[in-house]
Amino acid sequence: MEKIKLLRRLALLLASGIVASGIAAAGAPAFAQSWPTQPVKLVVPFPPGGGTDLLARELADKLSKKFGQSFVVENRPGAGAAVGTEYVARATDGHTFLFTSSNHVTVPALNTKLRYDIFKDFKPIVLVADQASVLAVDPALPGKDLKEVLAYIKANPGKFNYGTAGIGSGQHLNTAYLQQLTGIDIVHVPLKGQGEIIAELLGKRIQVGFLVLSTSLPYFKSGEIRPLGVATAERSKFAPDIPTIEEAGVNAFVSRSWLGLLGPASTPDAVVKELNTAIVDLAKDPSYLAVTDKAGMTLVNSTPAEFEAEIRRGYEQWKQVVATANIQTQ
Amino acid sequence: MISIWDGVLHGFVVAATPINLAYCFLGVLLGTFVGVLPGVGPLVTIALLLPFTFSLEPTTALIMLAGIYYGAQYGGSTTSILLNMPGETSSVITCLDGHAMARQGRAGPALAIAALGSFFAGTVATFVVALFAPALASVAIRFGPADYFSLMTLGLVGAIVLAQGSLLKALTMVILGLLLGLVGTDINSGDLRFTFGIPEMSDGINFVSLAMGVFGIGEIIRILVQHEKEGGTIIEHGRVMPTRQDLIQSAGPALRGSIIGSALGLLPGGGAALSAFASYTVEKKLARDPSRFGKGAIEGVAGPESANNAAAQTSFIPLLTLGLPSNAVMALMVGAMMIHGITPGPQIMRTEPDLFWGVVASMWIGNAMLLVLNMPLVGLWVKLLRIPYRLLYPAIILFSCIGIYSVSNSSVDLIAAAVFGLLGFVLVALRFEPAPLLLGFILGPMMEENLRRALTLSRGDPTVFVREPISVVLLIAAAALLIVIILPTVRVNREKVFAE
Repeated sequence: MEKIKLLRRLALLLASGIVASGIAAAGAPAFAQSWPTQPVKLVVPFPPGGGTDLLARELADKLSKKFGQSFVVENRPGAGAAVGTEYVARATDGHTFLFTSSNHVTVPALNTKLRYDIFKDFKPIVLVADQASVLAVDPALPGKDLKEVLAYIKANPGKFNYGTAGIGSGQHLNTAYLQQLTGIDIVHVPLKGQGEIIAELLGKRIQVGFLVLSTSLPYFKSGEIRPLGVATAERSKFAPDIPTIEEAGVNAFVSRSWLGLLGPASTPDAVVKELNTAIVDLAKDPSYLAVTDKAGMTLVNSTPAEFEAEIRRGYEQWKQVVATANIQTQ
Repeated sequence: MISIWDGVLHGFVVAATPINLAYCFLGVLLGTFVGVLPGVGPLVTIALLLPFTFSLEPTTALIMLAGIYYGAQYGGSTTSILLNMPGETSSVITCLDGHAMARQGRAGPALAIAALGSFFAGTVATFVVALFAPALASVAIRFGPADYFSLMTLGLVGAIVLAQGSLLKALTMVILGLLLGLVGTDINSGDLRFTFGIPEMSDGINFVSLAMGVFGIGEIIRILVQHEKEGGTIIEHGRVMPTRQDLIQSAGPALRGSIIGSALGLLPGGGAALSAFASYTVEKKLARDPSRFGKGAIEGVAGPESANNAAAQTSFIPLLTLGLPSNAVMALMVGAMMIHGITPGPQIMRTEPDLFWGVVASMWIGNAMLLVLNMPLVGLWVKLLRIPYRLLYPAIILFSCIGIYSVSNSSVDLIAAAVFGLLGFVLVALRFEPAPLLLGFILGPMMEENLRRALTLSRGDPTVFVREPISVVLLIAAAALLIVIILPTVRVNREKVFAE
C-alpha cells in the first residue's frame, strides 16, 4: 500500500518537478508589476503538435522568463478553431489570450452562426509570423512552369484531383481562389491534414495540393513533388528559388497564412502594448530565432493596428471567395 | 547510404551513449507511469515535455519521446488488465481476457505475459524496422483509399468474432458503434451530423470519453451495485509469475501477434489501431476451444499485447521515412522533430543516419529496460487490487476525469464520459459486450472516409474496390471470414430445426 502511494507520488513529483524546474529557471522579475498577477493562459484552438502549438509553446517559455510569471499553453481544439476562440472571447480574468492562425478569419468567413464576433470581441496584439504555403503538383503533370501546368489542367477539365485538409480548410479556400482566378476545373478530395495530402500526392492519386513549405522541402529536393509557387506576396527566404504564384502568372493571387496573438475585447491597452513589445523584442534573442527559422516561419512582428488591418483584409478576401465558390460549413 | 547491418550497429553505438541511455530510461519510466494512470495518456505527457526537449540533441530528444510512447503502451495494458480501463485504442482488446484473468486471481500472470509478449514483439519489430524500412516505405504509399476501405471491412467482419455470446448482440454493438462514429462533421459536405448544436461535438465523440465511460465507469458501477454492502476488494491475488504452461500457450500467439502488428503498423492510415484486434481474431479462430476466449484465455492477452507493441514500433517507419503520422502522438513527434530542424521524409536515412538508426536501436534497448522495470512491478500492481473499493474507485474516477479533461480541456468530454458510463452499465447488465461497440466506433469513421474518398477518386465508379488488386484480396478474405463465421451457426440452427 505505502509503496504504491509512494510510487504514485514519485511519478507525479517527477512530472511536476520537470515542469517546476522550467518555471524556476525563469527567475524572479526584476521589478514590481501590475500585470501579470497570476499565471497567463495562451489558448491554442488546435490540438497539440501543429505549427501554431509549436510557436505558442516557444513563446510561453520565453514570456515566462520575461515576466517572471508562468505562461501556460492550453489546447482547446474543435470546430475549426471556434471552440477555443469562443472561450477566449468570453474570458474576463485578464490573463487569458488567444494564440491562433489565419483560421481566425477563415472560420467566420465560412460560418455565419458563430457565437462570437472577431471584430467586436477581440483586441489584436501582434501578428507574430507568416508561414509560407506552396502550390505543389505531381511532377508527372507536363509544363515547364506554373502557367503551362495550369494550362494543361485547364485543357483537361474534371480529370485531376486536389487534396485538402477538409472542407473549409486553408488549402480548400486557396484552391477555390485559384480556380476562380484561372478557371481550372479540378475535383476536391477532402483529406485529413498535410500528411495525407503528401501521401496521396506520392501515391499519385491526387495531382495538386497546397503544402506548408518547411515540411515539404525534402520532397521538393528529391523531386517526388514539384513546387510551382508560394502563396504569399513575397518569396520565402527558406526557398528563394520558388517564385510567388503571382509572379508565376496568376494575377492577384495572394493568400496569407499567419500566426498571431489576440486578447479578449476587455484587454487594457497597456497590456496589449506590453505584450506586443515583449514579443517584438524576442527578435533579438538568437535561441528564439533558431526555433522560428527551423520551423520555417518568417517573423512579421506587426503593430496591433497592422494586425487589425490584416484581419479585416483577410476576412473580406475569404468572405468573397467563399461566396463565389458557394462553400458551406456550419 | 550505409548498409543495414552497419546501420543497426551504428544505431546501437549512438543509442548506448550514457546520455541517450539515461533519457531512454527516463522516457520509458515516465511512459509506464502515465500509462498506468487511467486516462492520462502519452499525448498529454509528450505535449507537456516538448519544450524541455528543445535544449537536447535531437536524437536524444526523440529517443526519450519514443520511450514515453511505447512505455505508455506497457503501462496502458496494466490498467486494462487490472481495472478494465483501456486508455488507448490499442489496449481495448487486452481488457477482454486480461481483466477476466484478473478477476480469477490471475492478474500476475496476465501482466507478466503482457510484458514478456511486448518485449518479444519489440525485438521482432526492431528488426523489421531495421531490415525493411526503406523498402516498406514505398509499399505503404501504394495503399490507397480503396485498399483501406477493404481492410476496414475485413476488420469489421472480424469484430463479430469478438462476440462471446450471441452473434446478434455483437452485431448490434458494432452497429451502435458505427452510429456513434457518425457524430461530427460530414467530410465531403462539411455539414454537421448529430451534434445538437454543441460546437465541441463537431469533431466527433472523444474516444477517451467513450472508452473510459463504457469500459471503466460502467464496470465500476456494476461492481458497486453487485457488492453494495461488502466494501471488499476485487480479488485475492494468486501467484504472480506465469507457469510453464502459460508460457508455452503464449509463445505461438506472441509470435503471430508480432508479425501481424509489424505488418499493420506500417500502414499510415490507422493500421496500428487494427493490430491488437486482428491478432485476437486470429488467435480465437486458431484456438481448439474458442469458447475460452473472453473468460481469461492467456492467448487473448499474449497475442494482442505483442501485436500492439510491434505496431507501435513499426509505425515509426511511415513517420520517419514518409513523415506520415499514424496517430496524434506521432503527429506530436513530427512537431518535436521540426523544432530540431529535422523534417521527416524519404531523405532522413541518408541525411540523419544517427537519428534514424539511433532511435531504432533505442527501441530495442528501451524494450529491454521496460521488461526489467515491469517484471518486478507486476507484484506491486497486483497488490493495487487489494485496495478496498471505497478508496480505489474514487481514486480511479478522479484520475480518469483528469485524463479525460486533459485531452482537449473540455468539460463536454467529461459529461460525455458520464453519459457513456451509464450506457456501459446498462450494456453490461443486459450482457452486451462493449468491445465490438468500440471497434465499430473506431473503424466506422475511417471506413466512411476511405469509402467516400475512393468513390470521389473513381468519380463514383464502385468497381474500383474490385479493380485494385490489394483491395480485392482483402475483400475476398472478408467474404471467406464471413462464411466461416456464419456456416457453423447455420448448421446448428438446421440441426435444431431437424431435432424438432
